[in-house]
Amino acid sequence: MNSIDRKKFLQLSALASTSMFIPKFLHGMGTSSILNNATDDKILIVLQLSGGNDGLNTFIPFNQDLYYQLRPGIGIPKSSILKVTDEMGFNPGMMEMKTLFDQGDLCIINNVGYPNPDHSHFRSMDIWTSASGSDQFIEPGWLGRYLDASCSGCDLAHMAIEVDDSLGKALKGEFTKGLALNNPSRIYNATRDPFFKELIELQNKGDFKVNNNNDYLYKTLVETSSSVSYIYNKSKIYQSKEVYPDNAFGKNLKLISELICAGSETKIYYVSLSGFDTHARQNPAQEKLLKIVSEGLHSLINDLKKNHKFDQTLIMAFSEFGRRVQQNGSGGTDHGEANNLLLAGGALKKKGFYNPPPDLASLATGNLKFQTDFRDIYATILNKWLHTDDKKILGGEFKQMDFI
Amino acid sequence: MISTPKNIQHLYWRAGFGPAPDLNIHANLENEIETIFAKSSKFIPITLRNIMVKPRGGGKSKTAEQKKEFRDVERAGRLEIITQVFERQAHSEACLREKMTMFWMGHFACRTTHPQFTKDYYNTISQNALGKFDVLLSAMIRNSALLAYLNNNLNRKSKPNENFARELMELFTLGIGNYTEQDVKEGARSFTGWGFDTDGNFLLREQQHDDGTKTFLGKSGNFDGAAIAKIILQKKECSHFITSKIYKYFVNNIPDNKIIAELSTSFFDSGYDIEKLMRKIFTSEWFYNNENVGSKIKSPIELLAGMIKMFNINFENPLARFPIQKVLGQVIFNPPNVAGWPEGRNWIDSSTMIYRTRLPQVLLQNAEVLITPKEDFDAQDTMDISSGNGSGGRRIRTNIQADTFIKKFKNQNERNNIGDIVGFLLQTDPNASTIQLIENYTASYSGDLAILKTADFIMSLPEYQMC
Repeated sequence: MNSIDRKKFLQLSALASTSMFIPKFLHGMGTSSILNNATDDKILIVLQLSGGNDGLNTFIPFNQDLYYQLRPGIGIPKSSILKVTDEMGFNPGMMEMKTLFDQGDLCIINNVGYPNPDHSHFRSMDIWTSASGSDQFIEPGWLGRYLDASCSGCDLAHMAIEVDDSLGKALKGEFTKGLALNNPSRIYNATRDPFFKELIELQNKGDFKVNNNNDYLYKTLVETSSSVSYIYNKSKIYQSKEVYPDNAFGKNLKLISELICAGSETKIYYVSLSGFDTHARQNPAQEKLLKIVSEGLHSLINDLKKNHKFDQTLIMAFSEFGRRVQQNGSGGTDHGEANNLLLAGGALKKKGFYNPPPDLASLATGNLKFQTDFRDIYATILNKWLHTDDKKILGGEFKQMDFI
Repeated sequence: MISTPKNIQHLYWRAGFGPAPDLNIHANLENEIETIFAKSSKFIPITLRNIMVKPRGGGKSKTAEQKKEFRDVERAGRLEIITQVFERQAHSEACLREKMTMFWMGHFACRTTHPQFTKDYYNTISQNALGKFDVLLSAMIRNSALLAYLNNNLNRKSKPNENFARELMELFTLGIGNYTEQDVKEGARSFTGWGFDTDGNFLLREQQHDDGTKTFLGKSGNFDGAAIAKIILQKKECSHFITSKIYKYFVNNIPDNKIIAELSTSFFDSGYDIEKLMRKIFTSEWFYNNENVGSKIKSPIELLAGMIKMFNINFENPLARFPIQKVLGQVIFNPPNVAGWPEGRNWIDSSTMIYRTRLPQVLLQNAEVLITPKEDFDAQDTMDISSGNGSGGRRIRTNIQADTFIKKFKNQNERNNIGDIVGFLLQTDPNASTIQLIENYTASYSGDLAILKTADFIMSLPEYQMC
């Protein structure tokens, strides 16, 4: 056995042993859902652009004179725009994204929003992550509710992973919560601390009472440890050779790619990039961020394609709101309303742009009007991609779109 | 009510942020209850030396330098407030007042950063935390931080904004189902023009106030905000809503409807006397029942303050508590939304569970904690307190003065005191094999270190997350 084979063999046996140590309450309850997922291998990656990305300077309607009239200082000159259609072009930082567009890997939905939009970051992000109306408060996140509904009783935290140090609202269900991690070996080592290891092993024999909070904590600890070793082992199988942006976000995308290519049974990946709240000197800051997104997505998609995983993957990038059409006095833009939303995947039925370009001549107190409710997009993803009852999860009926 | 060590500790966990190391667990329970009320009777306001001249706004006309100066002053003021609040939660003798203040800060949930507004918000709540609820409510509907957070400065006769009136009924007093949409509209009209000046003082803008007739909860008149609050307080549903929330926070997440109904009636009959209600709770037999002792999952602030108090933990950088609170999911003056912090199992997910069990090592042994809290939108503010060394983590440095704790367990036999330490630190008993495990892991230590190591392992247990 040469050294590489030996290493792989050890990894495989480590995997085998982990699954043998899955506590008994996870066996039985968990297996049915794993089997279901084996026949349905769809994966969703959600990319949260925090701070309110200026969609108008991301996908630019350069043919509308109003664009340059309202943005004399920050309107991107026609010569630098990466034109993809007669009407629309990309921010100059998004070379790789243009390549993806030209290959038919993208669908950009214009004019996405919701009624009575809120201009607060926190509140609007709340609305987007819980899929609530602007007059409603829903505690569990929309993908958490998906975990609750589709995975009742199975509680495998690694079915949904947020690549971050802490778990945000979107992946928190009422009963089932995703797993937050961005460095599998770091969190794995924390759970492999000898004392914890022994403590967890002591619990495997025990039964956990549903109504007992202390049992709930032990159950969470045991499940976390099991999910963490699952992910840790998966993270060792495939090493990407693609070049990702040299920053935390790039690393996070690389981890997602490696887990998918290693065949992790994770259905949902969630990752955030912040800094889009560009009230002042917007252009250089935004271009830098968009370049990171563009390069990162390009490498991720190349990885997925090479490993024949792109057809089963859908990527959605959103921000909590768009920005004011007219620039402010500091070379930036203030909080706005409707925005565009990016989809990528190998199974897109609708490629290119969805909805007409934003109409800068028809604004609501200086903001873009929405045409597609973001919950229509969620409903479509839940129904057509994750094959679940979207009405039950969203608590109402939303339009089914035809992008997948 | 039996005076057992567990019951005394139960009282201190619920009526405060846990026992101090010098707590006499053999004291008389009734006396301890009286002591807590006596020590919590006095209100002392928090103060602000760094006086903010003017709040936000008008920022557009300022130069970048002025803006920076403004931000620095604002940050210094905020730091001053938060340091005082942290200090009180961990060490104040008025532990019940502090605990009730924390409860009301979740009830009248409010994101606030402006130092003067924040100071007034905290002081108003703290001053009335154990007083009459009608007085507290009357102060809160005039509080600048709350009015600002719920956009009542945009609530004008010509264009009413319903946010404040809606939350007043839904979250602060009646609860959903006890009012109509029409009541929200009429309530909003009554609060038109209710705002504040730049110093945070309440200000009625007469010309923006709608002084027409309103019909609210079945009554008609030329109501203003104060009249609306009075009408609400006449509803027994208000008493029931508040009592139920207090029961779930102080007694058990799972409500006992019979007990809540009784408490609610006497709370209403007492004219909303909060202190009387709390006394009734702490002096009731059922409060000390097995199903209530050790049944609650500690909030991050309860967890942190409890450890700081027990081991006299000092942070080299007092702001280091921020990233900890953040990854554990509870940052003071910054609730997730208008509904406040969701309690109970909502605190727990896989990552918070791991951080919680690692926390004793971080605080007692200066173990490295690699945490990078999610960036806030207000990135400017969180950067300087949470930014790490580039590798995505930071070491939180502390020093501890555990003499009192160690002395408590030192004079006993060297090796058989683990049961006493367990009993003092935990409200729910771990099983024998868990205790055996801790014994195995501490067997090689002796003296003071053995006591500290034992405490460290005990506090790493899921059982320590309960109170």
